[in-house]
Amino acid sequence: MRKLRRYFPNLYIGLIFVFLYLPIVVLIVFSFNSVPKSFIWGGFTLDNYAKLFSGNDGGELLAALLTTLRVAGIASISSTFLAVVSCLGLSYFSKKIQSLVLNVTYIPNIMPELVTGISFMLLFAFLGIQKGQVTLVLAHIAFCVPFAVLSINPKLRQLDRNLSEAAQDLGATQFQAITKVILPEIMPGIVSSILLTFTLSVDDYLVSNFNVDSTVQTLPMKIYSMAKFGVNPKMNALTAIMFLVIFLLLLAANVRTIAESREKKKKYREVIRK
Amino acid sequence: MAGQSARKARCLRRILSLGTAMAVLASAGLASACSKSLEVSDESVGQTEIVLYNWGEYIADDTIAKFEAKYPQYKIVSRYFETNETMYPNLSNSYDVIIPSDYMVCRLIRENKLQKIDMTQLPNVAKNMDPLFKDVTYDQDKTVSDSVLSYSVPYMYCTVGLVYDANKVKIDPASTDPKTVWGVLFDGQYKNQVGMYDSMRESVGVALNYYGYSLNTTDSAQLAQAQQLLLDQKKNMSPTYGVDNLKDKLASGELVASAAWSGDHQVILSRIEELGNSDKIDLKFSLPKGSNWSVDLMCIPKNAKNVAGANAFINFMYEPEIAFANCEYVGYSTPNVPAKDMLADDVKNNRSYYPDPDTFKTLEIFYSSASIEEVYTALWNTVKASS
Amino acid sequence: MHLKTPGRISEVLEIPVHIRLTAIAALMSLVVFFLPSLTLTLFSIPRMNLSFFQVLQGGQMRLSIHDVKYTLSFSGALPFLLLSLLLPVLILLLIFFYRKITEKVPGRAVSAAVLSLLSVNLVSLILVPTKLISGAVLAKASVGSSDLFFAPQAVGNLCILLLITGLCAAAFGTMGLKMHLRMVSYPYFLWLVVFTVLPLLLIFFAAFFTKNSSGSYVFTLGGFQTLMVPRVIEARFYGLTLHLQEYFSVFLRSLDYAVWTTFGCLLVAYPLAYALSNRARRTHTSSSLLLMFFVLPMWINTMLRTYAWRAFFGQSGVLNNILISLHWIAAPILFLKLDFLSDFIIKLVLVNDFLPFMLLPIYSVLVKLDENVTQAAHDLGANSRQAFSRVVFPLSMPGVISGIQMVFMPALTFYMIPEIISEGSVTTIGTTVQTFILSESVVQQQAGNVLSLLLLIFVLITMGILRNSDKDTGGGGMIL
Repeated sequence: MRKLRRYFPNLYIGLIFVFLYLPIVVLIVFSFNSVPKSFIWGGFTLDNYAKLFSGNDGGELLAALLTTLRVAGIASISSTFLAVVSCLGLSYFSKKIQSLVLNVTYIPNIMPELVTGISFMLLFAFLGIQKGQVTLVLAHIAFCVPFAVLSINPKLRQLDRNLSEAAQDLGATQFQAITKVILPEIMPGIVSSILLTFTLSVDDYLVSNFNVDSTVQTLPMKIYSMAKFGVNPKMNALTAIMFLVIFLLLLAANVRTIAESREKKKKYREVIRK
Repeated sequence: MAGQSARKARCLRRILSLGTAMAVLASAGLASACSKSLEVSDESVGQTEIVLYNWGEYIADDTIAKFEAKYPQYKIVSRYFETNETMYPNLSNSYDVIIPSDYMVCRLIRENKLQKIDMTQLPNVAKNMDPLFKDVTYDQDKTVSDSVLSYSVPYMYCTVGLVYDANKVKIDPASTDPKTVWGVLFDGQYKNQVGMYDSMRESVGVALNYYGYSLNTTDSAQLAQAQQLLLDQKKNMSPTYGVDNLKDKLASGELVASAAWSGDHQVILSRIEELGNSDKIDLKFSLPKGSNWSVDLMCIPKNAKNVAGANAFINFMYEPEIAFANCEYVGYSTPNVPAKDMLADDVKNNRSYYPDPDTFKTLEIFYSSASIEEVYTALWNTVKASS
Repeated sequence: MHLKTPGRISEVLEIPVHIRLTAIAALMSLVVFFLPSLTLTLFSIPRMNLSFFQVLQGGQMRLSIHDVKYTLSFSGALPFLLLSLLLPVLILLLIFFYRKITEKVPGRAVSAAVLSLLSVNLVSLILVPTKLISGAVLAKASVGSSDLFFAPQAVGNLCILLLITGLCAAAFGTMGLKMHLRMVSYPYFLWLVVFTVLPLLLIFFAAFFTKNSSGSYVFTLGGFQTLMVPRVIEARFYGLTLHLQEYFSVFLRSLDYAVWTTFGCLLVAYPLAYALSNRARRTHTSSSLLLMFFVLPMWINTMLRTYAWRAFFGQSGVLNNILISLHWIAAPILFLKLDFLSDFIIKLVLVNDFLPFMLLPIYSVLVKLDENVTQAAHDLGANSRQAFSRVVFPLSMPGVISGIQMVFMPALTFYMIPEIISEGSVTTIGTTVQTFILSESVVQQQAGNVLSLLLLIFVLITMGILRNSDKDTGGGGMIL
């Protein structure tokens, strides 16, 4: 019984793992589908991968992918930049103003994306900006900024108040104090902010839906619009490739941690053996 | 002293970096300036462009090549749209030939966005167009309806009817009685096995047609009846709502009957063959009287640049061989009489694809107006919301 | 963080930041002069290329707008062109040589001079295209004159931003203000107002006012009336057939999904977070790798995953095929058609999609929990269960609250999943808002705005309740 109890947490983790990855496995399996409709099995083929970006549908897929990546890249970097700059400046204000500004910042976080998308649509109509590429990028930046602030502000708060003072006492200019002292300290926050905003922007459908015109299509919009006409297995192939890339990136980023943990386990076992 | 030289070094570095930035920008600019200037001063000699704005996959693969071979002075640029609604806002760009649907053509005529076509330039049309189309009511406004054929030329049309697996659904294949045909979709014995279009006009139209009412009625009693029918259907039959996914389900046998466009019948048949179900499923198409038909028409927008080219193209599309090739590829019905004669017997004699004149006269086009849209949308939303 | 000493920027021997900014702005306007399609007033017309460098090269300017070719005479614009070229040079000379000559830091007077020069430069850059491209050409190309003043490219927008910043910096220098690091956040305040406060006000406004045919706004409750229309429909909930008002029943169904999703996520994610954090603490690693793998599915497009679920449970789908080939069932089970099953599956897929959002906050709180606290509880006589329910669980509340925040409202309005799984049979409040907003009818659009407003109020109320039950409001627990 005790053995079962010991393995139960791992069993549970494994079960949830299967649950989470089931659709992804189905997706990847059907990416080898030879029938042009995604989820009716016709036969095994590697065509979808070989001809991923060729042909009419492949070309549209590529265009949507590039649009999504471009918008996500711009949105994540701009929103992180804006968040860093404003959090830095914000730290010079009184606590009251800080908490007011932060509360206002976090409002879009709790607003459902649907309402956010609609509110931006009204905003752009009000400002007289025509829906298109510009509104898409602006809307993405706008809904990413609260998440960027969410990632960076706590890190900034954790910072020792006296760090920048000490730097300046040691002869650094204000600018140098910021770039050489503060920024490296909040770098983890910056990295997680970029990752977070990029993820959100890539998978966003609701905000994009209300803020584009017919010339621009992001990948999620393309996938959703395929609902009525059957999802193309090339979508699956593209997703499988993206999954693989991210998986490898994840491994690469954590290679150090894995190596470290292996070493730690080794040392642990040695200690126990002794 | 050391401080000063350090500062000078820094200053120098800064100027250098600024200078390089400027140089980079300027060279990038010059590079693109040179390439762009070529673009501006490049004038193609002799050839003029015809910009065609069409549905996706709505023209045979080699039609455009054949046209350019016959008329080397023209070059066709193709643009594609998915729905009339996405096409409409793009009309501020200049196109030479556009192929919208009937209701959209009426709307464009009302908004004065089309130019009258000089029919003397289109001898093939006068020769080959089915005269049936001259008697059709395209719009509830008579003046607009009568003027449709002066602004546009029919390209392809299709009808809405019932596709069904004759092995499982026993109805008289020759029947055109709406109650018999549509009754299949409302008959409890086919629970969980029928499909309806996830589209307001088509599905409400089926219900209205079942009772024999006009597909454009605004009579609230009639609409209430139709709504009740759809509500009962949703509750008792659990139909699958969809557009394209219905075809796959019919091909795999999941559904035994569905409302469908005539063009889709051929598509589903070929899909059945692909899946190897030809011996299991005998898919038939039945067109009841008073059902919907729709036509896509070629027209020339007011801001077209190449009217001569547009005329040449439309005339070319009405050559029998070309119309035949297009019809084979797309699968819809052609208004071109000699092209229709070239079709296989079982297609051209199929009275659901090519209804006889009496049935044809009963068919209706969906009129589009704000009031109709509002009422029908509300009706359809209520049906979708209930369970 | 609140820094004690205010940040003062300029030092006596250095060029002040604002002067540097002005110099960059001037440099930019000089460079921009030579770049095609990148002048300050940038043309939004596709396939139109205009470079003043070309104008200086050849005597003539040929240009095509929408494939129609025009030849422009630039004699009328020549003075403005020369001005646009000379002014930045003047500004740069002024800035760089002022210090050399006078040994003083550029002060207010210099800033004022630079400001006026920059403004004149800006004006001349704007006037050039209006002189170059006549009204007749615009009319023929069916292009509005306002189309001349919009930057289509990202780089162009950056240039404009830089030039505006330069102007502000020059103005700032003129007024002799001290640069404080606070100023950096002023643009952000403006951003907040424009992109957070203004949209909310607009929703509120649009819910009550519509544009009538003459273009003016009238107060109307048409949206509310559309929503409160006394249409009653039948709705089936858990086997009961209820007769409710149409939109209320839709809302109720969405609420049903959202509540079950949140509850399901909590039920599944909490033990998972607990197990993961224990594992992390036991093996003394941050275990972030394993966590990452649980978050990885978030990267795969939600809708594709939903289609995959539909393919899995479909009538001719994976599960049915497996069950039939194992001879456990004879005919396919209509997972997506039968009432209870389809309801359950929709909730299952929703939980599947929102699980990472619940997992992360709870995990990040649990992993930071001090081990000694549980140890102390045990020492004080609590058994495992008590230690958990009285110590660990309350301490993890901030994470739970944060997770509920991230799951409940999105699940309420994320209409795509129920729509895809049920293949259009089920309507949720999100679908209703979507159809309203994108419809042609003005009244329906207003109804959509009213619905958005109501949803917003609902969110604020729920968040208020949640916030009150948790005093800690410091930035959410979602950071990795």
